[in-house]
Amino acid sequence: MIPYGFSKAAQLAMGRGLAETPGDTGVMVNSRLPGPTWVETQSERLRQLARNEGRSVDGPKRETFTVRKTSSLLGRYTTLEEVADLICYVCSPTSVTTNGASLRADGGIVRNYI
Amino acid sequence: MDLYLAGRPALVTGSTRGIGYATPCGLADMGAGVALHGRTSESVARAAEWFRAGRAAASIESHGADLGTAEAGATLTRAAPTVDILINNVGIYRMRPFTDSDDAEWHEYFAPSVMSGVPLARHYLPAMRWKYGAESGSSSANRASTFRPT
Repeated sequence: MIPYGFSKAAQLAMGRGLAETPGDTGVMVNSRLPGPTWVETQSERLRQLARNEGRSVDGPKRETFTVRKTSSLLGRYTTLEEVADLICYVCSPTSVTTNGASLRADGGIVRNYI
Repeated sequence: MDLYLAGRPALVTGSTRGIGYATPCGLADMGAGVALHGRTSESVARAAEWFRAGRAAASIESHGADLGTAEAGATLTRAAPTVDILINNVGIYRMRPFTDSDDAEWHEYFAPSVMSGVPLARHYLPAMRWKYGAESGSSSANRASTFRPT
Protein backbone atom coordinates (compact mmCIF):
# COMPACT_ATOMS: atom_id res chain seq x y z
CA MET A 1 0.00 0.00 0.00
CA ILE A 2 2.86 2.46 0.65
CA PRO A 3 4.08 2.36 -2.98
CA TYR A 4 0.50 3.18 -3.98
CA GLY A 5 0.44 6.18 -1.62
CA PHE A 6 3.81 7.29 -2.95
CA SER A 7 2.49 7.25 -6.53
CA LYS A 8 -0.57 9.32 -5.53
CA ALA A 9 1.50 11.85 -3.58
CA ALA A 10 3.77 12.21 -6.63
CA GLN A 11 0.73 12.95 -8.80
CA LEU A 12 -0.46 15.66 -6.43
CA ALA A 13 2.97 17.31 -6.48
CA MET A 14 2.95 17.16 -10.28
CA GLY A 15 -0.55 18.68 -10.42
CA ARG A 16 0.43 21.63 -8.28
CA GLY A 17 3.66 22.12 -10.21
CA LEU A 18 1.86 22.06 -13.55
CA ALA A 19 -0.74 24.53 -12.29
CA GLU A 20 2.08 26.96 -11.49
CA THR A 21 3.81 26.38 -14.82
CA PRO A 22 1.33 28.12 -17.16
CA GLY A 23 0.87 31.17 -14.92
CA ASP A 24 -2.14 33.45 -15.37
CA THR A 25 -3.36 32.10 -18.69
CA GLY A 26 -6.64 30.34 -17.99
CA VAL A 27 -5.09 26.85 -17.98
CA MET A 28 -6.06 25.11 -14.77
CA VAL A 29 -4.63 21.96 -13.22
CA ASN A 30 -6.35 20.21 -10.33
CA SER A 31 -6.23 16.79 -8.71
CA ARG A 32 -9.24 14.85 -7.57
CA LEU A 33 -9.13 12.55 -4.56
CA PRO A 34 -11.81 9.87 -4.60
CA GLY A 35 -12.52 7.87 -1.45
CA PRO A 36 -14.36 4.55 -1.21
CA THR A 37 -16.01 4.29 -4.62
CA TRP A 38 -18.21 1.45 -5.81
CA VAL A 39 -16.28 -0.07 -8.73
CA GLU A 40 -16.58 -3.59 -10.16
CA THR A 41 -13.50 -4.79 -8.28
CA GLN A 42 -14.98 -3.67 -4.94
CA SER A 43 -17.36 -6.62 -4.63
CA GLU A 44 -14.49 -9.07 -5.23
CA ARG A 45 -12.37 -7.30 -2.60
CA LEU A 46 -15.19 -7.58 -0.06
CA ARG A 47 -15.76 -11.26 -0.94
CA GLN A 48 -12.08 -11.92 -0.31
CA LEU A 49 -12.22 -10.11 3.01
CA ALA A 50 -15.26 -12.19 4.00
CA ARG A 51 -13.48 -15.41 2.97
CA ASN A 52 -10.43 -14.51 5.07
CA GLU A 53 -12.71 -13.94 8.06
CA GLY A 54 -14.74 -17.07 7.30
CA ARG A 55 -18.14 -15.36 6.94
CA SER A 56 -20.56 -14.09 4.29
CA VAL A 57 -19.98 -10.94 2.21
CA ASP A 58 -22.89 -9.10 3.83
CA GLY A 59 -20.83 -8.53 6.99
CA PRO A 60 -17.84 -6.68 5.47
CA LYS A 61 -20.06 -4.67 3.13
CA ARG A 62 -22.28 -3.45 5.97
CA GLU A 63 -19.26 -2.81 8.20
CA THR A 64 -17.37 -0.75 5.60
CA PHE A 65 -18.82 2.42 7.08
CA THR A 66 -19.94 1.31 10.55
CA VAL A 67 -16.61 -0.26 11.59
CA ARG A 68 -13.75 0.42 9.17
CA LYS A 69 -14.41 3.85 7.67
CA THR A 70 -16.45 5.49 10.39
CA SER A 71 -15.38 9.06 9.57
CA SER A 72 -17.30 8.98 6.28
CA LEU A 73 -20.02 11.62 6.40
CA LEU A 74 -21.77 10.12 3.39
CA GLY A 75 -21.90 6.69 5.03
CA ARG A 76 -21.89 4.76 1.74
CA TYR A 77 -19.72 4.11 -1.29
CA THR A 78 -19.50 7.03 -3.70
CA THR A 79 -20.87 6.28 -7.16
CA LEU A 80 -18.69 6.62 -10.25
CA GLU A 81 -20.99 9.33 -11.57
CA GLU A 82 -20.61 11.38 -8.39
CA VAL A 83 -16.84 11.42 -8.79
CA ALA A 84 -17.15 12.19 -12.51
CA ASP A 85 -19.40 15.17 -11.72
CA LEU A 86 -16.62 16.85 -9.73
CA ILE A 87 -14.19 16.22 -12.58
CA CYS A 88 -16.59 17.77 -15.11
CA TYR A 89 -16.85 20.85 -12.91
CA VAL A 90 -13.09 21.39 -12.60
CA CYS A 91 -12.66 20.81 -16.35
CA SER A 92 -14.95 23.75 -16.96
CA PRO A 93 -13.99 27.44 -17.28
CA THR A 94 -16.72 28.02 -14.70
CA SER A 95 -14.33 26.70 -12.02
CA VAL A 96 -11.65 29.32 -12.83
CA THR A 97 -11.02 30.15 -9.17
CA THR A 98 -10.13 26.53 -8.35
CA ASN A 99 -6.59 25.93 -9.56
CA GLY A 100 -3.60 23.96 -8.29
CA ALA A 101 -5.90 22.27 -5.78
CA SER A 102 -6.42 18.71 -4.61
CA LEU A 103 -10.16 18.15 -4.36
CA ARG A 104 -11.86 15.43 -2.37
CA ALA A 105 -14.77 13.43 -3.68
CA ASP A 106 -14.60 11.04 -0.75
CA GLY A 107 -17.87 11.50 1.12
CA GLY A 108 -16.10 13.55 3.80
CA ILE A 109 -13.94 10.67 5.03
CA VAL A 110 -10.83 12.78 5.69
CA ARG A 111 -11.36 14.75 8.88
CA ASN A 112 -8.99 17.62 8.12
CA TYR A 113 -11.11 20.56 7.08
CA ILE A 114 -8.44 22.38 5.09
CA MET B 1 -24.89 26.56 -14.22
CA ASP B 2 -23.35 26.22 -17.69
CA LEU B 3 -20.04 24.36 -17.67
CA TYR B 4 -19.09 25.57 -21.19
CA LEU B 5 -17.86 22.11 -22.16
CA ALA B 6 -19.73 21.91 -25.48
CA GLY B 7 -17.40 21.08 -28.34
CA ARG B 8 -14.25 20.94 -26.21
CA PRO B 9 -12.01 17.97 -27.03
CA ALA B 10 -11.03 15.94 -23.95
CA LEU B 11 -8.69 12.98 -23.46
CA VAL B 12 -9.17 10.69 -20.47
CA THR B 13 -6.44 8.12 -19.93
CA GLY B 14 -7.36 4.76 -18.43
CA SER B 15 -10.98 5.25 -19.40
CA THR B 16 -12.13 1.70 -20.12
CA ARG B 17 -13.82 1.15 -16.75
CA GLY B 18 -14.48 2.57 -13.29
CA ILE B 19 -14.08 6.30 -12.61
CA GLY B 20 -12.06 6.57 -15.81
CA TYR B 21 -15.03 5.41 -17.88
CA ALA B 22 -17.61 7.45 -15.95
CA THR B 23 -15.58 10.62 -16.62
CA PRO B 24 -15.84 10.78 -20.45
CA CYS B 25 -19.50 9.77 -20.08
CA GLY B 26 -20.08 12.82 -17.88
CA LEU B 27 -18.05 15.11 -20.15
CA ALA B 28 -19.86 13.88 -23.28
CA ASP B 29 -23.23 14.41 -21.61
CA MET B 30 -22.15 18.06 -21.20
CA GLY B 31 -21.35 18.24 -24.91
CA ALA B 32 -17.57 17.68 -24.86
CA GLY B 33 -15.91 15.57 -27.55
CA VAL B 34 -14.05 12.73 -25.86
CA ALA B 35 -11.12 10.47 -26.61
CA LEU B 36 -11.10 7.21 -24.68
CA HIS B 37 -7.84 5.50 -23.86
CA GLY B 38 -7.04 1.96 -22.71
CA ARG B 39 -3.91 -0.13 -22.31
CA THR B 40 -4.88 -2.39 -25.20
CA SER B 41 -6.87 -1.71 -28.36
CA GLU B 42 -9.24 -4.54 -27.34
CA SER B 43 -10.12 -2.99 -23.96
CA VAL B 44 -10.66 0.47 -25.43
CA ALA B 45 -12.74 -0.90 -28.30
CA ARG B 46 -15.03 -2.60 -25.77
CA ALA B 47 -15.38 0.62 -23.77
CA ALA B 48 -16.11 2.58 -26.96
CA GLU B 49 -18.85 0.11 -27.81
CA TRP B 50 -20.54 0.59 -24.39
CA PHE B 51 -20.10 4.33 -24.74
CA ARG B 52 -21.69 4.50 -28.20
CA ALA B 53 -24.57 2.29 -27.13
CA GLY B 54 -25.79 5.04 -24.80
CA ARG B 55 -24.64 8.11 -26.76
CA ALA B 56 -25.21 7.80 -30.45
CA ALA B 57 -24.72 11.53 -31.09
CA ALA B 58 -21.55 11.98 -29.02
CA SER B 59 -18.19 12.75 -30.61
CA ILE B 60 -15.77 9.98 -29.62
CA GLU B 61 -12.36 8.59 -30.53
CA SER B 62 -10.62 5.61 -28.96
CA HIS B 63 -6.90 4.93 -28.58
CA GLY B 64 -4.99 1.94 -27.25
CA ALA B 65 -1.50 2.52 -25.79
CA ASP B 66 0.28 1.08 -22.77
CA LEU B 67 1.35 4.23 -20.92
CA GLY B 68 3.78 2.19 -18.85
CA THR B 69 6.23 2.37 -21.75
CA ALA B 70 8.28 5.31 -23.00
CA GLU B 71 6.96 5.16 -26.55
CA ALA B 72 3.29 5.09 -25.68
CA GLY B 73 2.92 8.76 -24.76
CA ALA B 74 4.20 9.76 -28.20
CA THR B 75 1.90 7.24 -29.86
CA LEU B 76 -1.07 8.70 -28.01
CA THR B 77 -0.24 12.35 -28.71
CA ARG B 78 0.26 11.55 -32.40
CA ALA B 79 -3.17 9.92 -32.50
CA ALA B 80 -4.85 12.73 -30.52
CA PRO B 81 -2.67 15.79 -31.20
CA THR B 82 -4.85 18.51 -29.64
CA VAL B 83 -7.08 18.55 -26.58
CA ASP B 84 -8.51 21.29 -24.38
CA ILE B 85 -8.94 18.93 -21.45
CA LEU B 86 -6.46 16.28 -20.31
CA ILE B 87 -7.37 13.90 -17.51
CA ASN B 88 -4.50 11.74 -16.31
CA ASN B 89 -6.61 9.01 -14.80
CA VAL B 90 -4.48 5.96 -15.49
CA GLY B 91 -2.84 4.29 -12.51
CA ILE B 92 -2.38 0.98 -10.75
CA TYR B 93 -3.41 -0.25 -7.31
CA ARG B 94 -2.30 -3.22 -5.24
CA MET B 95 -3.13 -4.19 -1.69
CA ARG B 96 0.18 -5.80 -0.73
CA PRO B 97 1.47 -5.04 2.79
CA PHE B 98 4.75 -3.09 2.92
CA THR B 99 6.77 -5.96 4.38
CA ASP B 100 5.59 -8.30 1.60
CA SER B 101 6.54 -5.91 -1.20
CA ASP B 102 9.99 -5.73 -2.76
CA ASP B 103 11.89 -2.89 -4.44
CA ALA B 104 10.55 -3.95 -7.82
CA GLU B 105 7.00 -3.12 -6.73
CA TRP B 106 7.95 0.52 -6.08
CA HIS B 107 9.39 0.73 -9.57
CA GLU B 108 6.30 -0.94 -11.03
CA TYR B 109 4.17 1.98 -9.84
CA PHE B 110 6.37 4.69 -11.27
CA ALA B 111 5.80 4.21 -15.01
CA PRO B 112 2.00 3.70 -15.15
CA SER B 113 1.00 5.88 -12.19
CA VAL B 114 3.48 8.78 -12.28
CA MET B 115 5.29 8.99 -15.62
CA SER B 116 2.17 8.17 -17.66
CA GLY B 117 0.98 11.78 -17.44
CA VAL B 118 4.35 13.50 -17.93
CA PRO B 119 4.79 13.27 -21.74
CA LEU B 120 1.10 14.05 -22.19
CA ALA B 121 1.25 17.22 -20.09
CA ARG B 122 4.48 18.24 -21.84
CA HIS B 123 2.80 17.83 -25.21
CA TYR B 124 -0.60 19.41 -24.52
CA LEU B 125 0.26 22.25 -22.14
CA PRO B 126 1.92 24.68 -24.61
CA ALA B 127 -1.08 24.66 -26.97
CA MET B 128 -3.50 25.11 -24.05
CA ARG B 129 -1.41 28.03 -22.81
CA TRP B 130 -1.42 29.61 -26.24
CA LYS B 131 -5.16 29.12 -26.73
CA TYR B 132 -6.37 30.21 -23.31
CA GLY B 133 -3.58 32.72 -22.79
CA ALA B 134 -4.76 34.50 -25.95
CA GLU B 135 -8.16 35.04 -24.35
CA SER B 136 -6.31 36.71 -21.44
CA GLY B 137 -6.73 35.57 -17.87
CA SER B 138 -9.04 38.42 -16.91
CA SER B 139 -11.65 37.85 -19.60
CA SER B 140 -11.75 34.19 -18.69
CA ALA B 141 -12.25 35.10 -15.02
CA ASN B 142 -14.93 37.67 -15.86
CA ARG B 143 -16.82 35.24 -18.01
CA ALA B 144 -16.81 32.65 -15.25
CA SER B 145 -17.80 35.04 -12.48
CA THR B 146 -20.56 36.62 -14.57
CA PHE B 147 -22.31 33.35 -15.02
CA ARG B 148 -21.47 31.78 -11.74
CA PRO B 149 -24.46 31.51 -9.42
CA THR B 150 -23.22 32.53 -5.96
